[in-house]
Amino acid sequence: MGATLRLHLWHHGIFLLILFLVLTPLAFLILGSFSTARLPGDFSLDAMGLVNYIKVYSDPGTLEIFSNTVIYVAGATALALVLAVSLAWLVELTNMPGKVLVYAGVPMTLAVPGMLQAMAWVLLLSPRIGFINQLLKDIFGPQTPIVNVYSLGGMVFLEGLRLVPTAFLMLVPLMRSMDPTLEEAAAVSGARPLSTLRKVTLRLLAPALVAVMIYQAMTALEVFEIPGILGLPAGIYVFSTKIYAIVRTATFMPVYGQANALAMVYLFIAVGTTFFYTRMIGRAERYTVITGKGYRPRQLDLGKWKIPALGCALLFLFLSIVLPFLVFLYASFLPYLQAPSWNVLRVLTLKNYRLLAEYGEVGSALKNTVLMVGATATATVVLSFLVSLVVIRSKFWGRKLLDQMAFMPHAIPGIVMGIAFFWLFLKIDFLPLYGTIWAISIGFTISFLAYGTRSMNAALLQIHKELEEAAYVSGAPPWRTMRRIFVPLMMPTLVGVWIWVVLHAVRIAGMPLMLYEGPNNQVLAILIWNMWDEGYVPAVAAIGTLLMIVLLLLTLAVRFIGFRRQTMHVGGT
Amino acid sequence: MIRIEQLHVRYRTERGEVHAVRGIDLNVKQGQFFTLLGPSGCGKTTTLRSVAGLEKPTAGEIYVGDEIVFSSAKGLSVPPYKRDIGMVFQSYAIWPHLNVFENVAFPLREMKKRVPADELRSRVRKALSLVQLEGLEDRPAPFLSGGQQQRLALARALVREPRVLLLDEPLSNLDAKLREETRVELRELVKRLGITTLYVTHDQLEALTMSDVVAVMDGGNIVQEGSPVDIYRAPRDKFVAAFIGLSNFLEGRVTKPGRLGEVETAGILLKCILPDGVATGDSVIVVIRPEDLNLYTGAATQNDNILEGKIEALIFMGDTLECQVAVGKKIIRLKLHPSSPVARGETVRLQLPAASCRALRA
Repeated sequence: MGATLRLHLWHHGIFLLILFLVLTPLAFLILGSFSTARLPGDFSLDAMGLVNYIKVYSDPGTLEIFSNTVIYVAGATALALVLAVSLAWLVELTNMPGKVLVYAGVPMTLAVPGMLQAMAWVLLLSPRIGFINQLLKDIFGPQTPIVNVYSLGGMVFLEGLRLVPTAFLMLVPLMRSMDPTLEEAAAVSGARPLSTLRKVTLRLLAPALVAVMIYQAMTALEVFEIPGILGLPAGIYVFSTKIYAIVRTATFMPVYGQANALAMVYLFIAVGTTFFYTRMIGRAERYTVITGKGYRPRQLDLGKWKIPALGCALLFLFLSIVLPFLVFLYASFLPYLQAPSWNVLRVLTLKNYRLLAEYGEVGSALKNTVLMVGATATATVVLSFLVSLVVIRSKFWGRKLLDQMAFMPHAIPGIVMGIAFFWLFLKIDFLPLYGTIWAISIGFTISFLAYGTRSMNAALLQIHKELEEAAYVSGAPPWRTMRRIFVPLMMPTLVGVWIWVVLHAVRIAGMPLMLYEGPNNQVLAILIWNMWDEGYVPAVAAIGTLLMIVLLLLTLAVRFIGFRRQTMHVGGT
Repeated sequence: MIRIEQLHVRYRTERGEVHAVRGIDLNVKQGQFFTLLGPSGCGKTTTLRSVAGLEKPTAGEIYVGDEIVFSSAKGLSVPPYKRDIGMVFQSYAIWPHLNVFENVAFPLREMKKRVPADELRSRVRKALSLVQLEGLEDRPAPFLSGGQQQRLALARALVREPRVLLLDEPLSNLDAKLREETRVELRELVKRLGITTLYVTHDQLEALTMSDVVAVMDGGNIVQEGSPVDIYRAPRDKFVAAFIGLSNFLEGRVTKPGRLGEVETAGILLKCILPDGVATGDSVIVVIRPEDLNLYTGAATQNDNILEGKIEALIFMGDTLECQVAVGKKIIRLKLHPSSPVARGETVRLQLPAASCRALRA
């Protein structure tokens, strides 16, 4: 039958496309790490060797990068877990008042880009210009000890805060769906509350907690913006920033192959943890095999601790979202950077916003960003939808492999992906992609494919097979079925994924920085990064304020669509 | 063994306050199999959970054995882990992180006095053999079938040999065939052990086949309490008659009072058993079970309590033939032997034996 044949061709097409998109950059990443040529453009199979590896791993600095990375990742993950477990426990299992604020507020913190959050805290806590530090000096004299945000501690604190919302969103449904009769059965079996907590509740939550922990550690490991803003100025490197430094800020001719060599360990760690993570998820799911139905939620009476508990929850929201926004808002009206005081009120100005309108680079960056983000989101949605259709709804022989291929980029840190594409686009110079926004767009699309296909898989599984079959027997050919049954039923998911991709593509700086060439492919994230680097703080504050407002509105839109389930995986920077 | 006095349970939900249990009294004697039967939302599970200590009643008193475990007047509430009870949950609540052996051993390990390892092992074995799960000790709990999980939950509830066993719809998640077998097994097991059992179900068949005493609940109250035969043969009100088994209801007016009186209904004078204290002219509802009616295609052998009608529908149900007869505008249902020689549209006479017709106050 003609239709059947077309269907199969289409399956193969998707399969080959994904295979190509995922494997080619990886191949270049690996080959590049062995290349002895200085520049990716000079790469040839004749000039191969272990020089890069020897150079990178014999450097005593590498050991320090390892230990920095471990401290940073472990610290941030631990802090985030403690905060997220406490918040989730407060809203799900206690009678704390004002829960609605936490339910609504915590996901909102995702709207503040990591880069801007780090910058806001620099304005508060940098040793020289930090508002808080200046205040301390004014009160206690110039010898007073200050808090320096350019430190491992600063990175741990900020990344810890940033990981909370994702962990919270993962933990809340977990705590909600936990069958209370499992605990009640322990109580009627004679177990005291503490014993129940230890032997039943925590044991049941353990696999999921470990899974959340690994997921968070992976995120911390991959994040570039926080260690980039807080670590680079002080010369404190972790993996992601070191790779960036080798490629972008080396004083001499950059040695690109060394970045690849460093990226390889990084890649192994990331792939290893992903493997472990998927196995943990499997176990966690086995534990939820036996669950009860809707029960009246049991809630612990906090008594006199009700208000203090709410206070702590609100403090988190204040530090994560209100404070960075206020700092940016304030700085955006300053003629030059200065600490808040009564005198400042008289010099506040709209100059920065006017400057933005006049400054040509802002316009072109904005245009680039809109194009890049729109293309990325659309491509991700279309590609993920097609991949998921094949994976979930067809009997195509390679559908398992296709699913794994689509998920694999999830394990690859953005900065590593950046290098891989950097090599790829320089080498395939017959395609004029290098230095364009399309290069960034392709890179992001592949990165977000994992998220897109997870969401679409879940949504497609919800659509009963018979809805599709009913369309066939009603005379609709496959493509009509897709258009008239799947697309309308999946609309919330399609829109949700689209907005999610926009939210993330607009603010991630890591990969675009690796592919950045000049004004031609400068996007907003890079513009902010560069302006910050050059010290135009009030102008950055103005852009940042506007960006935060837009992102907050978009995040609200996601919630408005009622797109709850997908927030499970909202993460990144 | 279990005594409940004036129990009230109110709780708050998102939709407002619910008065789930409204002042019930009950008394379960030593070794009795006592069933709370009612539709969902009638307060039966809330009552059971109050006995377990999982629900905090608003008012009343609960005794387990000689011990008072809850008293609102004395401000006393013994926590569940200090009450000597075993309980089987509707979802079974088998701990998925423990294997079969450890699930059953859990209550023993939580006993105040440490149980020596040998004794622990032999008691777990014994409990598992009671429910025929020997040999599955090392099986992870999630790898059990529904029936096995149900039996494991029972073994766990029995392993401490508690004075009281609480069962919350333990059969409702089993398939029909298994449920039928388990009904008999479960009753035999608890009767053999002589354990006092409080059982909650919405399934009338379970209640009738398993219980010594059934308490029918509705809207937070016990509407009737008695032996299964009493409950079925002599329902005290329309709710009980309608909830348990099939019933035909005929509205009418008393024309002759007395224990065996007469009611004018469906155009005839019907002899039936009247409740105490009704007078001529009172409105009543006459209840008659479908299996108590006699059907005649020719002339009736008796002249009393005869209704004439036309067969509207015949429904073959395997062991019986349900026959729906239109008497005037009223449909009366009766159960016939499946090979009865009747046909749709046929005019028939129904005879209602006076001893099986019970009038209830309307």
